[in-house]
Amino acid sequence: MTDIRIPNDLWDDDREGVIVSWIYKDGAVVESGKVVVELMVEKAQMELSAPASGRLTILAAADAIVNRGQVIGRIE
Amino acid sequence: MRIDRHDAACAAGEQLRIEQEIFDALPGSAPLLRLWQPLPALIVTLAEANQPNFAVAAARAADRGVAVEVRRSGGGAVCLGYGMWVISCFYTSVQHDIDWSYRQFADALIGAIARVGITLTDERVAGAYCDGKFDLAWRGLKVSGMAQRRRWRDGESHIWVHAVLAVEQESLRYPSEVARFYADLGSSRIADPANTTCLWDCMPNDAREPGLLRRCGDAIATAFETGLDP
Repeated sequence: MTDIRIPNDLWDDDREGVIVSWIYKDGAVVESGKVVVELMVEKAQMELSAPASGRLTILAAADAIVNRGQVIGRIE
Repeated sequence: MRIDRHDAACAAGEQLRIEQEIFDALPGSAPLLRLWQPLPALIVTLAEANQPNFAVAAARAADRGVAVEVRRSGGGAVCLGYGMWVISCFYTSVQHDIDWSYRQFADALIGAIARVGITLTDERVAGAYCDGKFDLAWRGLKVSGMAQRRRWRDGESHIWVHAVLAVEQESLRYPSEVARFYADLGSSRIADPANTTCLWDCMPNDAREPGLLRRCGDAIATAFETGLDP
């Protein structure tokens, strides 16, 4: 199992981000390196890629408020 | 940094598609700075395009001669048009902090504009269109705003940071289009044109000379060619 985590160094303070959209649905099979989720903070839209191949579990849905370092999904 | 400059007015939709391809191909030929002058176009975010009244609001803008395009960077609607520069910077970095990227970009732009005799500051201009922490302002009025798209992959950030800079007085026709769009959309978001200005209006009367748009383009190209080290 591999966590999809918002990197700690994406921003440098306690601002919150928001999940804009998941590219794949919960339970979908994703491929390592493919963009799986978009999030936004301070007018910066960021795409995170799948850190591994496998079945996606979404832990923070679209429009959820998130913090840096937070685990927002898993791949099994 | 390599410079790709276009002094003839360009259709924003086509330029955004070109820039999306550059972003998708990063690191590709980066670091790269693109500098282009836009034809009138209202550039809205994906979230705004998903609003129920978007089709009506977009049709009304089109009736006023303003094309509507969707971008995937953050913030809110921006209206491009004559008398402006759009500045887009592409690079990759192991530095992931979004503020670091904004700071580098803002400092280079502020330095460039200082070369034409205008001192800008970076500060949020609350109530202006697409306001953000790294607005560039003169006496509290917005002259430029910036946004980013980033892709985090294998420990490296792929970065597209862009800005629109209001230079000539004709650029001041466009911020009101954002307010009209929000009214048509039924949005409570504020985009007051009174909170914006352009570089021409920042200059003392005796310093105003024709060709400011070209001189700004020259200054920006020079600043990024020699000064930015992503």
